[in-house]
Amino acid sequence: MASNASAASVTTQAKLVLLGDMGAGKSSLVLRFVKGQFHEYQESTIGAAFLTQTVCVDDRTIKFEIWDTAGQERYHSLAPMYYRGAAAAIIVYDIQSQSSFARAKSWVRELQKQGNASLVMALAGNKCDMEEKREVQAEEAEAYAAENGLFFMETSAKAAVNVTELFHEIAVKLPRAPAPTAPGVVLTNQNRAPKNSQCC
Amino acid sequence: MVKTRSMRSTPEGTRAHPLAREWSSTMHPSVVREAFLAESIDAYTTRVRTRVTTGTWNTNGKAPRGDEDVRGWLMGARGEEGTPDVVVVGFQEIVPLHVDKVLAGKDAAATEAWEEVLDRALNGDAARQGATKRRGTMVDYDASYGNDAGRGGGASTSGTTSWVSFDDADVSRRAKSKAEPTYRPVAQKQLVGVYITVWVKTSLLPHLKDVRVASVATGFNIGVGVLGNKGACAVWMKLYSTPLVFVCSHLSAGTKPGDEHRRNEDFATIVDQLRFHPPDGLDGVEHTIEDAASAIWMGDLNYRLNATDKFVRDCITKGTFSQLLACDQLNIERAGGRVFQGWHESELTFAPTYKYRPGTNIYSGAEDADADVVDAGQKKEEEKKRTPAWCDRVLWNGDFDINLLEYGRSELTHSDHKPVHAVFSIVVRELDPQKLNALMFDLRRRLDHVEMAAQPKCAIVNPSVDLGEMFYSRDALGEFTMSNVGDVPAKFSLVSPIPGGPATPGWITVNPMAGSLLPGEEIVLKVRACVQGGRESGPSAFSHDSLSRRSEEPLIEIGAKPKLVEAVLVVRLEGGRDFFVMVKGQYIPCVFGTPLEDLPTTMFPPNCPQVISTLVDYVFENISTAPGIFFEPLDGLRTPGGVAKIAETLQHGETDIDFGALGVNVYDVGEALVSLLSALPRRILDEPGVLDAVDAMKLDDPQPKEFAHGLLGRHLSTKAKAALVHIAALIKRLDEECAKTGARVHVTEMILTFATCLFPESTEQPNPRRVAFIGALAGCHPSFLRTLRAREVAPPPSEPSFLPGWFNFSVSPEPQESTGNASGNLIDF
Ligand SMILES: Nc1nc2c(ncn2[C@@H]2O[C@H](COP(=O)(O)OP(=O)(O)O)[C@@H](O)[C@H]2O)c(=O)[nH]1
Ligand SMILES: [Mg+2]
Repeated sequence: MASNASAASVTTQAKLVLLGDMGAGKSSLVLRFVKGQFHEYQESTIGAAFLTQTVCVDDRTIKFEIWDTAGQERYHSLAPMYYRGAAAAIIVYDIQSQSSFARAKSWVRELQKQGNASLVMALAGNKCDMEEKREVQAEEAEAYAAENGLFFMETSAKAAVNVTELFHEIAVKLPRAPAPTAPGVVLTNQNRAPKNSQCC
Repeated sequence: MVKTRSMRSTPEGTRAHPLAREWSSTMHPSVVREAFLAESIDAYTTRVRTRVTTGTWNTNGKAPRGDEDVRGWLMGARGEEGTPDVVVVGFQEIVPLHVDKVLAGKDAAATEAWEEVLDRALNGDAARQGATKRRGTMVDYDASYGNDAGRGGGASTSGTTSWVSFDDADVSRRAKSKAEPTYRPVAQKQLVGVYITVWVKTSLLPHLKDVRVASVATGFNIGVGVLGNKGACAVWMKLYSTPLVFVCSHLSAGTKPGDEHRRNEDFATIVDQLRFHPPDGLDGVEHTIEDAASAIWMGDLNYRLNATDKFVRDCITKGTFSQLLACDQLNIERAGGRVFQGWHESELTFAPTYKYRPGTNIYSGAEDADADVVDAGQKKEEEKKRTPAWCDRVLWNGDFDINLLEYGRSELTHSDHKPVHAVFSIVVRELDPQKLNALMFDLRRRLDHVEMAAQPKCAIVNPSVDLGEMFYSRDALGEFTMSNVGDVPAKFSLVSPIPGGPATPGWITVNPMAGSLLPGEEIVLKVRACVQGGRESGPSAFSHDSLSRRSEEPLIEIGAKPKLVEAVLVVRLEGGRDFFVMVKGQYIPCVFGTPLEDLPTTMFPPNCPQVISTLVDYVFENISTAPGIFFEPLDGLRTPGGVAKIAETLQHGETDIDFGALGVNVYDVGEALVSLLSALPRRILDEPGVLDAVDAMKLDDPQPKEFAHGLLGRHLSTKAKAALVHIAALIKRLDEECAKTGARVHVTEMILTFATCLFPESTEQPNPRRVAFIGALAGCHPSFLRTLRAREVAPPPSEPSFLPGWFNFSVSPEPQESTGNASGNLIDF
């Protein structure tokens, strides 16, 4: 009983970075995930926004420290600041734009070059509510993701499709941190009172 | 047993519920733990109200006669509604405390006989079935006793425990029996005369977990251990999720003043030593009384009354017990904080329970002691003259979920003690994992929001700085404003995009680089940019590949067109977001930074670039007016903005410049020369052939001037050669000047200055061979080699003093070459 309670209480921090073309919907995905909101006129990010959000998966609690970066090409050289040391990366493209998909692929290549094998990478085809203007087929992205060992989801920050699922799936895939306490010690007692003292 | 869902919240206490504390003990970080503890435990547990009856009786070593009605003692006079869910009975002197019994440690016959009495009282017609008679519902029952015996025949070591659990098959077997027994024995522990037994309503069995027993002996110490003639037996169990502890103890007897302190010590020893171990071979943590949500302590605690025998008996006769409460040793010791600290006892409203003539309701030592009704054996007891006392007590510990309903005694006459009982209402709780998860989720969301709300919020209205036109060596100024638009103070600082790198490119400085802003405050950050020679800070900062800084590309494009230069500054709010501030300007190219090959040349000396000869000639002619030039720090000697003025003038293509009229001095011209050489996209001696040969030179074997010139002839362009020869003439002239003015010791520094700007740029100083080469080329007096060799033997560690002070604009303060350098965190545009 008590072990249920205590296991759910161990929090792992995980740095997560969103990368992708400007306007693909990175900020919108984060806003949907963290605040459950969507803004039609999301002001574009100049710099990098920092947000935190905790998710619980099974017996683990993951606290995401999210860096939502500017997508403009002119800030490209600053991206390593944010993906360096990250546990997870979400690479976002807009399903209405082949060029944003191409840009996503180049981000994937850049991350692969970093040689961080434990990095969990997710490919998000955003704005899937805009089916009629689709340029990138889900199958194409799916195949690309499978080839490159990413996991793939089509999302919509606007219609709240697959947003929580995306982050949840990342949390599930994060490698387990070594247990903070010695194995076998599930519960700890309150500090034992010194000899001869009374209880509680 | 009433199952309820509380609508009230947990009684407010200074500390959280013990269950909450237990569950929170592994929660991280501490803010989560604190937030969890602040929640009502009712939010994630189901409450089950239980009635727990505890009884304690010192039976004086007498076996039951068979006609005791213990029902009144344990079940009260209530109907079904008031029947207990848990019955805990503690005996003392369940066997006579004779030496043989004490050494035997246990007496199954005596405990069996009393268990049968309890069975009948609790189960009535359904008594005496296998399920109630055999305490074999507990596995390991025998093993635990075997353990005790194995530890020295009744000389029990303290803390002996055993693990007991249920035999489920046995529970299911009850279906066959005619009448269902209402209560089942679930745990027993004996230590000589001390015996504790716990019976639980059959319907509660599925919710009973983790039953453990333990004992501590506090009797005579016989060297190999402590005898169990006094001590405690205890049971740990979890009902639903709530851990409960029941302790039965027999503390030291004695009527002498001060004997109460021995009882206090016994109590302390028991609390200290009682350990409930996890079952053998199973993982788990051992527990102490402290770990229980509630604990109940019963027994013959043996505390007496500090009053005269007559006063005590008078009070009892008059029924004014309350006058005796202040004389009760336990009350006195507890008030003095010497025993049972933190425990509770209800006020005694019943007559002292000791010492009676067995078979009667008459206190031993009463006036009629000589009467014939008293037999010979009892006469001896009567002679002990025991003053009546409240020896038999029940106390409890725990500030949550436990309430005393009743505290009293029964009038059974079997023993010289009356049995005492205390009835409790205890709310036990079951953890609801779903509710707990929901709560934790909610809690963390709330904490996230609190954290986000506490994030500093600042705004940079127009995060871009336009420096306008930028000229060589001239400060270009700009600024941006950051304001704290949030509710909390904000700390900001400029950070490097590369770990360990500088926060700004070398050609930009920002003031201030860090600071803090109160809500509503704003601050203007001043940006100053200056383009000068040298890769680390000069025009080369405009490299395309400036982040990796390994470019072999031409470092600056030349031509008539102005060039857009940009850098991004990163301003980080502590605990918040990053801002990107774009700094840009139009760099107006000039001769500084122009490749050597594109510089117009002079007629005389032939092929020498015009600007170089102009600068060299001016210094050459005015050396005597500029002592210390090229080896002393220029601070205070040069003219502010002097190089910029020179650069501007040179740009106009003038050949015959009156530097004096321009308002600049010889030092400025010298600085301009070094700056120009440093700013060359490709330095004059940046030729692999030259570098290889020079670096292979032997210092001990100074190469003649001819070798140096031969090398140049083979590898350098005509223009480069001409420039170098002209510069070499200046160096030679400087050498002579030094000799003349007695500054010969500084020649090495002077040569080093030129070596630094002629050889390819590096964050390290040119090696001694390169310095020697320049000296040889110029035909300097070889004495400088001595200083140089001395230097090579014992190289001063990372000597920045080795560099002339005025040279700092072209050398990075930190050698960062290998890790890359952020000074040009520019922009792929
Ligand atoms: N239809 C639709 N529009 C979206 C969606 N996500 C974002 N947008 C819009 O796309 C624009 C760019 O979004 P933003 O989050 O600023 O993109 P970022 O530059 O990648 O951060 C905004 O106008 C959003 O309202 C989506 O799922 N569906
Ligand atoms: Mg954005």
